[in-house]
Amino acid sequence: MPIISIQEVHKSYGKKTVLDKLSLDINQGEIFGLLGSNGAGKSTVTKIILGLERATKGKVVFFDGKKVDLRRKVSLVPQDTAFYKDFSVEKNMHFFASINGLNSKLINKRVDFLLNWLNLTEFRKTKASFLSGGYQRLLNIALSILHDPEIIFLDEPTVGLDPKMRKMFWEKINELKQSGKTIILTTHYMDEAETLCDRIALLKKGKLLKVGKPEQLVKEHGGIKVMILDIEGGVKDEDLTKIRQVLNQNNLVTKENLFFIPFEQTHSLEKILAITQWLMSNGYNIVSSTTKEPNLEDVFLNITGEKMVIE
Amino acid sequence: MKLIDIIWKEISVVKSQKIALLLIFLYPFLAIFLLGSSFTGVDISSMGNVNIGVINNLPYDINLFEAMGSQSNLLLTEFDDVNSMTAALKRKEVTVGLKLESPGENQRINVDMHYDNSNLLASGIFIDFAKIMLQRMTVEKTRTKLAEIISAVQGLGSNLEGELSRISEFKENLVEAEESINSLEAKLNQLDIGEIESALEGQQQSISSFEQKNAQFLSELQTFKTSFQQMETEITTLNASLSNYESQLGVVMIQLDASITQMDSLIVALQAEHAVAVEPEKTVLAGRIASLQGIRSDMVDSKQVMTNLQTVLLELSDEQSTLNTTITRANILFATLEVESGNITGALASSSSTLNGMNSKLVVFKSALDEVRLLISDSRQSKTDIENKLTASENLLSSFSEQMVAFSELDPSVLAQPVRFYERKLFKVNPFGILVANIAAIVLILTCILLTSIIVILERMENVSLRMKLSPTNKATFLLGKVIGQLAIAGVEAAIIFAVAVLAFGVDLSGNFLNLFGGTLLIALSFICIGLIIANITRTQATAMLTSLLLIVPMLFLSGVILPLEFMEPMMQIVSSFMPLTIANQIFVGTIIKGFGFVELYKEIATIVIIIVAVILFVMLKDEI
Repeated sequence: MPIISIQEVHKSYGKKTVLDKLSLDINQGEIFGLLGSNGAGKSTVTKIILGLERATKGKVVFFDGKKVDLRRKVSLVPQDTAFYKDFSVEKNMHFFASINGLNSKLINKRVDFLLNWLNLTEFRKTKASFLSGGYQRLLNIALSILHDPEIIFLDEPTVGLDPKMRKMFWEKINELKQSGKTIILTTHYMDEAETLCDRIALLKKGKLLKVGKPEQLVKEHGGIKVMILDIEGGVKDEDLTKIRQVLNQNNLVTKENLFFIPFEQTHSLEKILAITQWLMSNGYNIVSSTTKEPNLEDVFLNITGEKMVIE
Repeated sequence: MKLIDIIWKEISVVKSQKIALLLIFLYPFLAIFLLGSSFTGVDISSMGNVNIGVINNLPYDINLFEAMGSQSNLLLTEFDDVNSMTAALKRKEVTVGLKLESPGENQRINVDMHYDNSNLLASGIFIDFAKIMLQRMTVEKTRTKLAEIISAVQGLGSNLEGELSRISEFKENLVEAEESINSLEAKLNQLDIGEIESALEGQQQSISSFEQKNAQFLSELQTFKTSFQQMETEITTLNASLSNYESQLGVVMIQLDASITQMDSLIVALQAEHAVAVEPEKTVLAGRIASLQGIRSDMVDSKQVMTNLQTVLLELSDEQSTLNTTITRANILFATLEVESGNITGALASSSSTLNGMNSKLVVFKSALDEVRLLISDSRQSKTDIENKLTASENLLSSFSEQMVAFSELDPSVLAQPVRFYERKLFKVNPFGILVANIAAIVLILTCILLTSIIVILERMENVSLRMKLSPTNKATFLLGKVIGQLAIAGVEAAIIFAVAVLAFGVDLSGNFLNLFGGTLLIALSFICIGLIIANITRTQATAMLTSLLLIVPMLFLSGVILPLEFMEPMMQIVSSFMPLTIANQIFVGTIIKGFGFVELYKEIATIVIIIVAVILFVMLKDEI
């Protein structure tokens, strides 16, 4: 049963179409990932769902059309921290709990619970701006779920976090899911989406390209494997052009010292051999080589025809 | 090279900021236009109409308009009493109120200068202006007075020369007159008028009395002579009558004797008859006999009288002969008397000729007297002339003296300082009180606008406003909370200012605490609203601060906080009256200094409420707070 049903939502600013008849169902209790490059329409659809913007056409149905106070049921954890930097952690929590309609008794209870849950108890009296980036992000989450909403939008929750912190975030997100929350996650970390999300929607230029479980999408659209060669000094641009022409391999990509060779599951050794031979014969020194299995990023690349553009 | 790059970088960064471009290119024009069109220098003639209130208690007419000279924008409004004038001052209908008093035209004018001391600069300048105006008027008066004195003295000077020459002329005339009188005196000394007069008079009197007596005697003599002759004629007539009378008397006596005899016979006859007669004839006869006897006795008596008469007639004849002798003697006397009278008349004629001689002498004397009279009349004429001339001199001197008396009444100190000014401040306030009102307005506008706009933008930039939007709390609540919070800050701010004013500078705020409190809240609210507007039209705190300053700085100059409103062009004064800082200043000045309540400040309050309502509606319609 979808908790949110996006029905043919269309949004345009003047002549520019931002969302093009987008239809999407989000189920209760799942972590749903919204993926797409900049300008794909992720934030617009998020805003429309949150009621911050109106759809030009179409509608969003919550809870199967039941009448509820959405502001109490839906919450957003913004990508950028949203709190008073000069207030203490506790003061921030008290304030936002209050404006979210909690009474003082409940506020204290929730604040204590969340501080404990997010390991913020020791920073209770600390000024928000004095927290490290990771803890500021935690506080940001805490402030969004003070009123215990059922649907939580997480906008790029782990950008700029160290791996340890990131792992902790993932744990917490999973815990939220386990407590029955529906989570909508926008991220450009494909591993994050793959790890956390139950389902994923791929957006491009306001259109829904694919929606489905990550492993299923990888299986269907992950396509090729990639051999990654570490070449001393990297491959020159003119040589890359030559290789592409000579070997008729248009999908070759370089990035700094790395040289990516996508290949099918079958008939791939000849191709890899030919390329490595060419490189070596042209004086390149291959330092190492690894093989990369297809993942969600590949799915994205394959479906959209472009790499994920990071904001 | 590095330095040039840095300089160019600086310019490029500034160029990239829209607000900076506005500041650099538009703001100078805006500021110059606003301030330039508002203040044309402290030049009274190019300000709007300056209304001066006057209570004219001077006991004479003066032309105040004349005193104002070429200041065509000055208006005068007359008031009857100080109360109505101070009321008009409070309503700002007049800029300065003057009460002119003086005991008299040449006395010092005491001027009470009532003025609105609720601002530091304007009142002083207008007071000085009014002083200059009045001093100009009175200096003119003094000048006129001195000119009068000088012209009087000059006039006297030129007249005095004429007077001096005339006086020497008088002296000559007087010498001449003295000489004439001396000669006259000599002539008079030669005359002994008294002797002549007395002699002449005695002579004349005796002659005339003698003449009178002589004439009287002559006429009496004549009358006597005539009567005497008449008497002579009558005596002759009487003689003839007497002889006639004698002869007739003899006849009558004979006849009377015969009648008596008859009568006796008749009576005898009748007695006989009576003796025989019967009654009634007897009684009748008796009566007749008695009457006949009566008549006979009368006849006997008449015969006796006649006899006596004959005797008298004889005596008269003797007397007549004596009388004739006397008449003859009298006629001789008359003739003698007539001769004597002729002699007297001759003597009188000789006396008369003597008198005529004397008379001719008197004619000579009379002509001499006429001469003297002429001389005297000439002298009189000279005297009258001199008198007239002296009177003219006297008049001249007395008019000058009167002028001098009038001038002496002039008090030199009044001439030197014809006006004395007494400043009457409209409000009891020290300069700190005025500053407190102005400073409160400035501080509140800065803090309220800046704090409100900066905090709204801070909330927006820190994404807090996003959380607010997503919360179930509605916008109105956030707005209300924000406004009340800001009001509280403004309240604390104002409280600090007023506390410092009261404790450190002794400003008295006790009388109007409630008005001040309400006014402060309203003012702060309006500034907070402006802060909200600025926050809505700007993105960053920097632009918000700049915009606030762009807005506040011109208001500082146009609101009357720093430069007086009265110095501004009338049009700009109207524009200024809609500026929140102007209104704030008016309300603070009104409540702190003037003791106004909401009734007197209704215009300002209405404007401010309209601004507040408009802004709140605007903000509520916008997405963000």
